[in-house]
Amino acid sequence: MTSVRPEEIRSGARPAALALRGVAKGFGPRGRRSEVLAGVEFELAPGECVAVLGFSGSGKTTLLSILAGLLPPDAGSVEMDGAPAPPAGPERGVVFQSYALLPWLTVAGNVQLAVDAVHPELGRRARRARTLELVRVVGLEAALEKRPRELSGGMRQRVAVARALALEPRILLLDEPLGAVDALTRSSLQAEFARLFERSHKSVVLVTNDVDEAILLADRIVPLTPGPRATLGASFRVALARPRDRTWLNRDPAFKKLRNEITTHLLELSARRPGRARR
Amino acid sequence: MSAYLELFALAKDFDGPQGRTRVVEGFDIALARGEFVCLLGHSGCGKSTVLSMVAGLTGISSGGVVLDGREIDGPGPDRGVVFQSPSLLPWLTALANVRLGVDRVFADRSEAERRAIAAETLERVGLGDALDRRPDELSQGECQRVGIARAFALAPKLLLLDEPFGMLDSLTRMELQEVLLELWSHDRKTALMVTHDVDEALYLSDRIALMTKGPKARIGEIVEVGFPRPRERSAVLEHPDYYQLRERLLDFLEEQDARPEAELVSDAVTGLGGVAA
Repeated sequence: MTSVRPEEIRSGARPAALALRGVAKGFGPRGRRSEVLAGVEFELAPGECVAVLGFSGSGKTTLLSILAGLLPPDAGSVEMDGAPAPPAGPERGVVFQSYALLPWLTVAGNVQLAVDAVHPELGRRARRARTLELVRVVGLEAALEKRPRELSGGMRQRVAVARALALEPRILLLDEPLGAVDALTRSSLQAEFARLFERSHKSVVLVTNDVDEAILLADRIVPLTPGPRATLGASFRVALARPRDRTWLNRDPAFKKLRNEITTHLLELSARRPGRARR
Repeated sequence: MSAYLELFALAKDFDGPQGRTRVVEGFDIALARGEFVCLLGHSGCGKSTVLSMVAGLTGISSGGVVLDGREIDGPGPDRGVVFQSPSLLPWLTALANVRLGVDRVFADRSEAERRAIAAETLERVGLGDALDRRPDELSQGECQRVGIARAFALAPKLLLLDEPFGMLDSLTRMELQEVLLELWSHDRKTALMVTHDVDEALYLSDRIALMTKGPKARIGEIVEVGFPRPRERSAVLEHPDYYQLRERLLDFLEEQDARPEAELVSDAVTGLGGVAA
């Protein structure tokens, strides 16, 4: 994987693919306003996969929406390639936890929609071929003509991923992409995501609450401190060789050390949450 | 070891459109007083069916369950159950939800005493300042804290936990495991818990019973978990046996997962005495 180290970015060798500078965001009317994010600094190197790890309700989705350009920050700025980020567009592909598929369209139809939008210049057959290729990438050839309600959660998730890839984004933003699928499907999808990220050399931000998922997929893991006024903490580098295999990882001392460090760190963060159980 | 809770030759049949299916068969295990045992297996393997029979909420097709020298027959307050979804009454506060059971079980105590029991248990699950909040003012994790308090407040002989953290995100799940362990260490109730989370089972249990894939699910293997108590997460994770045990559990689950469906179907058919689909 051709990822750029954050040191290189800081030294000015290459600008970050995506960055947040002093970002803050709150919701609600004055007086009863809740500050969700505060003082968020973030840099995603080109080709890097960063996992943002946080508790539910701590502002992960707000953070991702700001990264995608779907939500303006109250303070601070979003940068792409060192310049102020343009409005949301196909260069940033988003996969939401809820899939957001069109229920009356088939798998092919849902993906085709995105292909048509990005490639109006191509002929019908070329666009159809591109759709089939994407459906194949996520392993859904057999379900090509099925509608979302005929699919399992894991399959719907794959459609959403194929649709995001159709935009040919340089940056892929994933909001708990595996949050809604059961444990077994999750591990097989995680393996597929890992392969996909390795092949596509995209810059990826993955928001998750699962430590193992983060370690399996990411180059770097950034914990989001519990809200309100959540912010990103110091990051953990995942220096494990790829492809990463679950069983094999279980025996890797570096994996064990990292997993224990991150888990303990998160539990410490949670213990400091206001109004939490004393231990 | 004298058994405090004993499940012997427990079996459960369900009648479906395809005829009768034996979901669980020949399920045997004995728990010592104060022991924490997890049933680990894939979803749909029959773990919850076993727990439900022990709770007295599902009829037993054959075999039996003995708790503290008496065979169980239907549900009762000697067994506190924590369900996957806490099913709180939405119009009642956290305190009132816990008091529902407390008022019945401790009917001979004064009003003030009953209130104190409920309030104290809620305090112990970290909800001391949320007694008067209703479920819609609580997070999912907080609702499950109420569910746990509701079971503990009844001072049952046995705790039955049916994937209590299954609906929570993995970080909240870890927090609640701490809450549960803390509460449990207080009086070491005998506990039987169903889970499919390997790390959860390792952190909480004295023994883990691994269940084979159904139909005719039974215990395939029992794993002793010798981490010293009281347990602390980082110490458990750094224990030299941790990842070895973890691999053993994961391997078992993977093997079960790989068991061919055909074998299962033929199992089911033989179980029906040759009634083919």
